Amino acid sequence: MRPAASRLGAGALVVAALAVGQVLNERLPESDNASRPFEAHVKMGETAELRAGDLTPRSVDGATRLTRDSSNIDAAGVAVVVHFDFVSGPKARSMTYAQFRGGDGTTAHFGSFGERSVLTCPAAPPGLVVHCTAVFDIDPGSLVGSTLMIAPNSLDERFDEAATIDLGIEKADVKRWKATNELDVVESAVDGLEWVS
Amino acid sequence: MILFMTGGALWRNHVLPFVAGRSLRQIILAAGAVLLLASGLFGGLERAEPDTLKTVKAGQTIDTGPFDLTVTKVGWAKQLGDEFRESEIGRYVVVYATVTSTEKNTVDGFVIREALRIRGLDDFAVNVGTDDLVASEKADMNVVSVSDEARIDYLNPGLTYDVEYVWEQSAAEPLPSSIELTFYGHGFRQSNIDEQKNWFDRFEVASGSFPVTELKP
Repeated sequence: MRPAASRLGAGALVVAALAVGQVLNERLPESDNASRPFEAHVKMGETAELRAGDLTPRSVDGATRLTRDSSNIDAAGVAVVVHFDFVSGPKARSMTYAQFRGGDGTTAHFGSFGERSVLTCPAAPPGLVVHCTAVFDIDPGSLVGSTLMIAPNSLDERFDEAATIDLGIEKADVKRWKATNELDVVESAVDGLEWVS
Repeated sequence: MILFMTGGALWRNHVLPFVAGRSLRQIILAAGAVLLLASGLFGGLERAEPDTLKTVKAGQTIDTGPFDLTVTKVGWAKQLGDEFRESEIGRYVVVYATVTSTEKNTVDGFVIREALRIRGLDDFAVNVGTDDLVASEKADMNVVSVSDEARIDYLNPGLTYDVEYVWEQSAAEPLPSSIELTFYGHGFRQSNIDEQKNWFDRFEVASGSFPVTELKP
Protein backbone atom coordinates (compact mmCIF):
# COMPACT_ATOMS: atom_id res chain seq x y z
CA MET A 1 0.00 0.00 0.00
CA ARG A 2 2.73 2.44 0.96
CA PRO A 3 4.67 2.19 -2.34
CA ALA A 4 1.42 2.69 -4.30
CA ALA A 5 0.55 5.73 -2.18
CA SER A 6 4.08 7.05 -2.66
CA ARG A 7 3.81 6.66 -6.45
CA LEU A 8 0.43 8.37 -6.40
CA GLY A 9 1.91 11.28 -4.45
CA ALA A 10 4.83 11.62 -6.86
CA GLY A 11 2.45 11.56 -9.82
CA ALA A 12 0.31 14.27 -8.23
CA LEU A 13 3.40 16.40 -7.69
CA VAL A 14 4.39 16.04 -11.35
CA VAL A 15 0.88 17.00 -12.49
CA ALA A 16 0.89 20.00 -10.12
CA ALA A 17 4.31 21.12 -11.42
CA LEU A 18 3.08 20.86 -15.02
CA ALA A 19 -0.04 22.86 -14.14
CA VAL A 20 2.06 25.61 -12.50
CA GLY A 21 4.35 25.66 -15.57
CA GLN A 22 1.34 26.01 -17.84
CA VAL A 23 -0.04 28.93 -15.81
CA LEU A 24 3.37 30.66 -15.79
CA ASN A 25 3.73 30.13 -19.52
CA GLU A 26 0.35 31.72 -20.14
CA ARG A 27 0.90 34.66 -17.80
CA LEU A 28 4.50 35.62 -18.66
CA PRO A 29 4.99 37.77 -21.80
CA GLU A 30 6.35 36.01 -24.90
CA SER A 31 10.07 36.57 -25.41
CA ASP A 32 9.58 38.63 -28.59
CA ASN A 33 6.99 40.77 -26.86
CA ALA A 34 9.01 41.13 -23.66
CA SER A 35 12.13 42.30 -25.49
CA ARG A 36 10.39 44.79 -27.79
CA PRO A 37 11.58 48.39 -27.48
CA PHE A 38 9.56 50.89 -25.55
CA GLU A 39 7.92 52.93 -28.29
CA ALA A 40 6.77 56.52 -27.95
CA HIS A 41 4.08 57.15 -30.59
CA VAL A 42 4.00 60.63 -32.08
CA LYS A 43 2.40 62.51 -34.96
CA MET A 44 3.92 65.30 -37.03
CA GLY A 45 4.81 68.23 -34.78
CA GLU A 46 4.57 66.24 -31.53
CA THR A 47 7.67 65.45 -29.46
CA ALA A 48 8.71 62.00 -28.30
CA GLU A 49 10.72 62.27 -25.10
CA LEU A 50 13.22 59.42 -25.18
CA ARG A 51 16.11 58.65 -22.85
CA ALA A 52 18.43 59.46 -25.77
CA GLY A 53 16.77 62.82 -26.36
CA ASP A 54 13.73 64.60 -27.78
CA LEU A 55 12.56 63.68 -31.27
CA THR A 56 10.05 65.80 -33.18
CA PRO A 57 8.87 64.77 -36.66
CA ARG A 58 8.44 67.78 -38.95
CA SER A 59 7.41 66.73 -42.45
CA VAL A 60 6.97 63.91 -44.96
CA ASP A 61 7.20 64.24 -48.73
CA GLY A 62 7.83 62.01 -51.73
CA ALA A 63 8.64 61.77 -55.43
CA THR A 64 9.83 59.30 -58.02
CA ARG A 65 13.26 60.97 -58.19
CA LEU A 66 15.34 62.61 -55.47
CA THR A 67 18.18 65.02 -56.04
CA ARG A 68 20.76 65.04 -53.27
CA ASP A 69 24.17 66.55 -52.59
CA SER A 70 25.90 63.20 -53.07
CA SER A 71 23.86 61.36 -55.69
CA ASN A 72 20.44 61.27 -57.29
CA ILE A 73 18.00 58.46 -56.63
CA ASP A 74 15.54 57.04 -59.16
CA ALA A 75 12.95 55.22 -57.09
CA ALA A 76 11.71 51.77 -58.03
CA GLY A 77 8.62 52.61 -55.97
CA VAL A 78 8.29 56.03 -54.40
CA ALA A 79 11.17 57.81 -52.67
CA VAL A 80 9.92 59.16 -49.35
CA VAL A 81 11.68 61.86 -47.33
CA VAL A 82 10.92 62.32 -43.62
CA HIS A 83 12.42 65.26 -41.76
CA PHE A 84 12.61 65.27 -37.98
CA ASP A 85 14.46 67.22 -35.31
CA PHE A 86 16.46 65.57 -32.58
CA VAL A 87 17.97 67.09 -29.44
CA SER A 88 20.30 64.81 -27.46
CA GLY A 89 19.66 64.25 -23.77
CA PRO A 90 22.52 64.24 -21.26
CA LYS A 91 24.88 62.55 -23.75
CA ALA A 92 25.48 63.29 -27.44
CA ARG A 93 23.58 60.57 -29.31
CA SER A 94 22.83 59.84 -32.93
CA MET A 95 19.78 58.05 -34.32
CA THR A 96 21.00 55.22 -36.52
CA TYR A 97 18.12 52.78 -37.07
CA ALA A 98 14.81 53.20 -38.89
CA GLN A 99 12.03 50.71 -39.51
CA PHE A 100 9.18 51.51 -41.88
CA ARG A 101 5.96 49.63 -41.10
CA GLY A 102 3.66 49.65 -44.08
CA GLY A 103 -0.11 49.86 -43.90
CA ASP A 104 -0.16 46.56 -45.80
CA GLY A 105 1.81 44.67 -43.13
CA THR A 106 5.20 44.88 -44.84
CA THR A 107 8.29 46.26 -43.10
CA ALA A 108 11.48 47.87 -44.34
CA HIS A 109 14.53 48.73 -42.27
CA PHE A 110 17.56 50.87 -42.98
CA GLY A 111 20.38 52.62 -41.15
CA SER A 112 23.05 55.27 -41.43
CA PHE A 113 25.01 53.52 -44.17
CA GLY A 114 23.17 53.42 -47.45
CA GLU A 115 22.47 55.29 -50.62
CA ARG A 116 18.89 54.51 -51.65
CA SER A 117 17.49 54.14 -48.12
CA VAL A 118 19.39 55.99 -45.42
CA LEU A 119 18.90 57.70 -42.07
CA THR A 120 21.09 60.77 -41.54
CA CYS A 121 21.02 62.04 -37.97
CA PRO A 122 24.52 62.78 -36.65
CA ALA A 123 25.37 63.19 -33.00
CA ALA A 124 25.59 66.74 -31.70
CA PRO A 125 26.27 68.19 -28.25
CA PRO A 126 23.25 68.06 -25.90
CA GLY A 127 20.89 70.98 -26.39
CA LEU A 128 21.65 71.60 -30.07
CA VAL A 129 18.86 70.85 -32.55
CA VAL A 130 19.86 68.35 -35.25
CA HIS A 131 17.69 68.46 -38.38
CA CYS A 132 17.63 64.79 -39.43
CA THR A 133 16.57 63.14 -42.68
CA ALA A 134 15.22 59.67 -43.41
CA VAL A 135 15.06 58.70 -47.10
CA PHE A 136 13.70 55.40 -48.35
CA ASP A 137 12.56 53.80 -51.59
CA ILE A 138 9.28 52.00 -50.93
CA ASP A 139 6.32 50.32 -52.60
CA PRO A 140 3.62 53.03 -52.89
CA GLY A 141 0.97 50.43 -52.03
CA SER A 142 2.34 50.24 -48.46
CA LEU A 143 2.31 53.96 -47.66
CA VAL A 144 -1.26 54.64 -46.49
CA GLY A 145 -1.50 53.92 -42.75
CA SER A 146 2.27 53.52 -42.36
CA THR A 147 4.57 54.44 -39.47
CA LEU A 148 8.32 54.99 -39.16
CA MET A 149 10.17 53.85 -36.05
CA ILE A 150 13.39 55.69 -35.26
CA ALA A 151 15.85 54.28 -32.72
CA PRO A 152 19.38 55.05 -31.54
CA ASN A 153 20.81 51.55 -31.86
CA SER A 154 21.38 50.13 -35.31
CA LEU A 155 22.85 46.83 -34.11
CA ASP A 156 19.98 45.70 -31.91
CA GLU A 157 16.89 47.83 -31.76
CA ARG A 158 15.33 45.83 -28.91
CA PHE A 159 17.49 47.19 -26.14
CA ASP A 160 16.47 50.81 -26.13
CA GLU A 161 13.46 52.96 -26.61
CA ALA A 162 12.27 54.28 -29.94
CA ALA A 163 10.03 56.92 -31.44
CA THR A 164 7.28 55.67 -33.74
CA ILE A 165 6.06 58.36 -36.10
CA ASP A 166 2.57 58.20 -37.56
CA LEU A 167 3.40 59.39 -41.07
CA GLY A 168 -0.22 60.40 -41.71
CA ILE A 169 0.04 59.55 -45.41
CA GLU A 170 -3.20 59.46 -47.38
CA LYS A 171 -4.11 58.18 -50.85
CA ALA A 172 -4.00 61.70 -52.29
CA ASP A 173 -0.40 62.13 -51.04
CA VAL A 174 0.70 58.89 -52.70
CA LYS A 175 -0.97 59.89 -55.98
CA ARG A 176 0.73 63.30 -55.90
CA TRP A 177 4.15 61.83 -55.09
CA LYS A 178 3.87 59.29 -57.91
CA ALA A 179 3.30 62.22 -60.27
CA THR A 180 6.20 64.27 -58.84
CA ASN A 181 9.30 63.67 -60.94
CA GLU A 182 11.83 65.52 -58.82
CA LEU A 183 12.30 66.44 -55.17
CA ASP A 184 15.33 68.29 -53.85
CA VAL A 185 16.31 66.77 -50.48
CA VAL A 186 17.22 69.19 -47.70
CA GLU A 187 20.20 67.49 -46.07
CA SER A 188 20.68 67.05 -42.32
CA ALA A 189 22.22 69.94 -40.37
CA VAL A 190 22.84 71.08 -36.82
CA ASP A 191 21.61 74.46 -35.63
CA GLY A 192 24.59 76.68 -34.90
CA LEU A 193 27.13 74.29 -36.44
CA GLU A 194 28.54 74.10 -39.94
CA TRP A 195 30.16 71.03 -41.47
CA VAL A 196 33.76 71.68 -42.49
CA SER A 197 35.12 69.46 -45.23
CA MET B 1 39.76 -14.51 -23.82
CA ILE B 2 37.39 -12.92 -26.31
CA LEU B 3 40.34 -11.12 -27.84
CA PHE B 4 41.87 -14.43 -28.97
CA MET B 5 38.70 -15.92 -30.52
CA THR B 6 38.25 -16.11 -34.27
CA GLY B 7 35.42 -14.09 -35.81
CA GLY B 8 33.24 -17.23 -36.29
CA ALA B 9 33.69 -18.43 -32.72
CA LEU B 10 32.92 -15.01 -31.31
CA TRP B 11 29.73 -14.86 -33.37
CA ARG B 12 28.68 -18.44 -32.36
CA ASN B 13 29.59 -18.35 -28.67
CA HIS B 14 28.66 -14.84 -27.66
CA VAL B 15 26.78 -12.72 -30.20
CA LEU B 16 24.10 -15.24 -31.24
CA PRO B 17 23.26 -16.36 -27.64
CA PHE B 18 23.14 -12.70 -26.58
CA VAL B 19 20.75 -11.76 -29.41
CA ALA B 20 18.62 -14.89 -28.80
CA GLY B 21 18.18 -13.82 -25.18
CA ARG B 22 16.71 -10.40 -26.18
CA SER B 23 13.05 -9.67 -26.66
CA LEU B 24 11.68 -8.71 -30.12
CA ARG B 25 11.16 -5.14 -28.91
CA GLN B 26 14.81 -4.88 -27.82
CA ILE B 27 16.04 -6.26 -31.14
CA ILE B 28 13.93 -3.77 -33.15
CA LEU B 29 15.09 -0.84 -30.98
CA ALA B 30 18.74 -1.91 -31.34
CA ALA B 31 18.39 -2.25 -35.12
CA GLY B 32 16.84 1.22 -35.28
CA ALA B 33 19.69 2.69 -33.21
CA VAL B 34 22.30 1.07 -35.48
CA LEU B 35 20.54 2.44 -38.59
CA LEU B 36 20.36 5.92 -37.06
CA LEU B 37 24.07 5.87 -36.17
CA ALA B 38 24.98 4.57 -39.64
CA SER B 39 22.94 7.34 -41.30
CA GLY B 40 25.12 9.86 -39.43
CA LEU B 41 28.00 8.92 -41.73
CA PHE B 42 25.98 10.28 -44.65
CA GLY B 43 24.76 13.44 -42.99
CA GLY B 44 22.06 11.91 -40.77
CA LEU B 45 18.68 13.55 -41.10
CA GLU B 46 20.15 16.76 -42.55
CA ARG B 47 18.35 17.90 -45.69
CA ALA B 48 20.18 16.56 -48.74
CA GLU B 49 21.06 19.02 -51.48
CA PRO B 50 20.06 18.04 -55.00
CA ASP B 51 22.85 16.28 -56.87
CA THR B 52 22.41 18.23 -60.06
CA LEU B 53 22.08 21.99 -60.24
CA LYS B 54 19.53 23.68 -62.44
CA THR B 55 21.09 25.06 -65.62
CA VAL B 56 20.24 28.70 -66.30
CA LYS B 57 20.12 30.71 -69.49
CA ALA B 58 19.90 34.47 -69.96
CA GLY B 59 16.43 35.74 -69.10
CA GLN B 60 15.54 32.75 -66.93
CA THR B 61 14.38 33.60 -63.39
CA ILE B 62 15.86 31.83 -60.36
CA ASP B 63 14.10 31.78 -56.98
CA THR B 64 16.85 32.46 -54.43
CA GLY B 65 14.49 32.39 -51.44
CA PRO B 66 14.03 36.04 -50.47
CA PHE B 67 14.05 37.37 -54.04
CA ASP B 68 13.90 36.39 -57.70
CA LEU B 69 17.08 36.85 -59.73
CA THR B 70 17.13 37.07 -63.54
CA VAL B 71 20.46 37.51 -65.33
CA THR B 72 19.95 39.15 -68.71
CA LYS B 73 23.49 39.62 -70.08
CA VAL B 74 27.20 39.78 -69.19
CA GLY B 75 29.74 42.29 -70.45
CA TRP B 76 33.06 43.96 -69.73
CA ALA B 77 34.41 47.50 -69.97
CA LYS B 78 37.42 49.49 -68.83
CA GLN B 79 35.13 52.24 -67.59
CA LEU B 80 31.50 52.10 -66.57
CA GLY B 81 29.34 55.21 -66.33
CA ASP B 82 30.22 57.90 -63.80
CA GLU B 83 30.42 55.56 -60.82
CA PHE B 84 33.19 53.27 -62.07
CA ARG B 85 36.05 55.34 -63.47
CA GLU B 86 38.73 53.72 -65.67
CA SER B 87 39.88 50.55 -63.91
CA GLU B 88 43.41 50.82 -62.53
CA ILE B 89 43.96 47.07 -62.71
CA GLY B 90 42.29 46.24 -66.02
CA ARG B 91 38.55 45.91 -66.55
CA TYR B 92 35.14 45.67 -64.98
CA VAL B 93 33.13 42.51 -65.48
CA VAL B 94 29.42 43.30 -65.34
CA VAL B 95 26.43 41.02 -64.92
CA TYR B 96 23.14 42.71 -65.77
CA ALA B 97 20.21 41.33 -63.81
CA THR B 98 16.79 42.03 -62.42
CA VAL B 99 16.08 41.52 -58.72
CA THR B 100 12.49 41.31 -57.46
CA SER B 101 11.56 41.07 -53.80
CA THR B 102 9.30 38.17 -52.86
CA GLU B 103 9.42 38.98 -49.15
CA LYS B 104 7.31 41.03 -46.72
CA ASN B 105 10.45 42.41 -45.07
CA THR B 106 13.62 44.08 -46.30
CA VAL B 107 16.30 41.88 -47.85
CA ASP B 108 19.76 43.16 -46.86
CA GLY B 109 22.34 44.01 -49.50
CA PHE B 110 24.75 41.25 -48.46
CA VAL B 111 22.12 38.62 -49.34
CA ILE B 112 21.78 40.11 -52.83
CA ARG B 113 25.55 40.18 -53.29
CA GLU B 114 25.97 36.60 -52.06
CA ALA B 115 23.41 35.33 -54.58
CA LEU B 116 25.81 35.40 -57.52
CA ARG B 117 29.44 34.41 -58.12
CA ILE B 118 31.68 33.99 -61.16
CA ARG B 119 33.18 30.52 -61.26
CA GLY B 120 36.71 29.42 -62.16
CA LEU B 121 38.50 32.65 -63.12
CA ASP B 122 41.54 34.31 -61.55
CA ASP B 123 42.89 37.75 -60.68
CA PHE B 124 39.70 39.40 -59.49
CA ALA B 125 39.89 42.31 -57.03
CA VAL B 126 38.70 41.12 -53.62
CA ASN B 127 36.69 44.38 -53.54
CA VAL B 128 36.10 46.75 -56.43
CA GLY B 129 38.71 49.53 -56.33
CA THR B 130 41.41 47.46 -54.63
CA ASP B 131 44.42 45.65 -56.13
CA ASP B 132 44.30 42.64 -53.78
CA LEU B 133 43.62 39.83 -56.28
CA VAL B 134 41.82 36.55 -55.54
CA ALA B 135 39.96 33.78 -57.35
CA SER B 136 36.63 34.92 -58.82
CA GLU B 137 34.62 32.85 -56.32
CA LYS B 138 36.13 34.84 -53.45
CA ALA B 139 35.75 38.27 -55.03
CA ASP B 140 33.05 40.61 -53.74
CA MET B 141 31.28 42.95 -56.12
CA ASN B 142 29.25 46.14 -56.06
CA VAL B 143 25.56 45.94 -56.89
CA VAL B 144 24.13 49.20 -58.24
CA SER B 145 20.92 50.24 -59.91
CA VAL B 146 21.24 50.65 -63.70
CA SER B 147 19.14 53.83 -63.70
CA ASP B 148 21.05 55.93 -61.17
CA GLU B 149 24.17 53.87 -60.28
CA ALA B 150 23.30 54.12 -56.57
CA ARG B 151 24.14 51.06 -54.47
CA ILE B 152 21.43 48.49 -53.71
CA ASP B 153 21.90 48.37 -49.94
CA TYR B 154 18.42 47.04 -49.30
CA LEU B 155 15.68 45.42 -51.35
CA ASN B 156 12.36 46.52 -49.91
CA PRO B 157 9.10 44.55 -50.25
CA GLY B 158 7.28 44.84 -53.58
CA LEU B 159 10.18 46.45 -55.45
CA THR B 160 12.07 45.42 -58.58
CA TYR B 161 15.42 46.84 -59.71
CA ASP B 162 17.43 46.46 -62.88
CA VAL B 163 20.92 46.10 -61.44
CA GLU B 164 24.55 45.69 -62.37
CA TYR B 165 26.72 43.22 -60.45
CA VAL B 166 30.16 44.79 -60.98
CA TRP B 167 33.49 42.99 -60.41
CA GLU B 168 36.98 44.24 -61.25
CA GLN B 169 39.60 41.98 -62.84
CA SER B 170 43.26 42.37 -63.70
CA ALA B 171 44.07 42.81 -67.41
CA ALA B 172 46.89 40.28 -66.90
CA GLU B 173 44.28 37.54 -66.91
CA PRO B 174 42.46 36.97 -70.23
CA LEU B 175 38.67 37.06 -70.13
CA PRO B 176 37.06 34.08 -71.87
CA SER B 177 34.25 34.51 -74.42
CA SER B 178 31.79 33.10 -71.89
CA ILE B 179 31.76 32.84 -68.09
CA GLU B 180 30.19 30.42 -65.65
CA LEU B 181 27.85 31.95 -63.08
CA THR B 182 26.71 30.21 -59.90
CA PHE B 183 23.39 31.23 -58.35
CA TYR B 184 22.92 30.87 -54.58
CA GLY B 185 19.83 30.66 -52.41
CA HIS B 186 19.57 31.43 -48.69
CA GLY B 187 17.71 29.96 -45.73
CA PHE B 188 15.89 32.09 -43.13
CA ARG B 189 16.87 31.57 -39.49
CA GLN B 190 17.79 33.27 -36.24
CA SER B 191 21.36 34.53 -35.91
CA ASN B 192 23.50 32.70 -33.34
CA ILE B 193 25.16 35.99 -32.44
CA ASP B 194 22.42 38.56 -31.88
CA GLU B 195 19.28 36.37 -32.19
CA GLN B 196 17.84 38.53 -34.98
CA LYS B 197 16.39 36.67 -37.94
CA ASN B 198 17.91 37.01 -41.38
CA TRP B 199 18.81 35.11 -44.55
CA PHE B 200 21.91 32.98 -43.96
CA ASP B 201 23.50 29.67 -45.02
CA ARG B 202 23.75 30.18 -48.75
CA PHE B 203 23.63 27.12 -50.97
CA GLU B 204 23.99 26.60 -54.72
CA VAL B 205 20.69 26.49 -56.58
CA ALA B 206 21.69 26.89 -60.23
CA SER B 207 24.51 27.63 -62.63
CA GLY B 208 24.89 28.60 -66.24
CA SER B 209 27.26 29.73 -68.95
CA PHE B 210 26.78 33.26 -70.28
CA PRO B 211 28.51 34.88 -73.30
CA VAL B 212 30.58 37.98 -72.52
CA THR B 213 30.45 40.99 -74.81
CA GLU B 214 32.43 44.23 -74.71
CA LEU B 215 30.29 47.11 -73.46
CA LYS B 216 30.57 50.20 -75.65
CA PRO B 217 30.52 53.57 -73.87
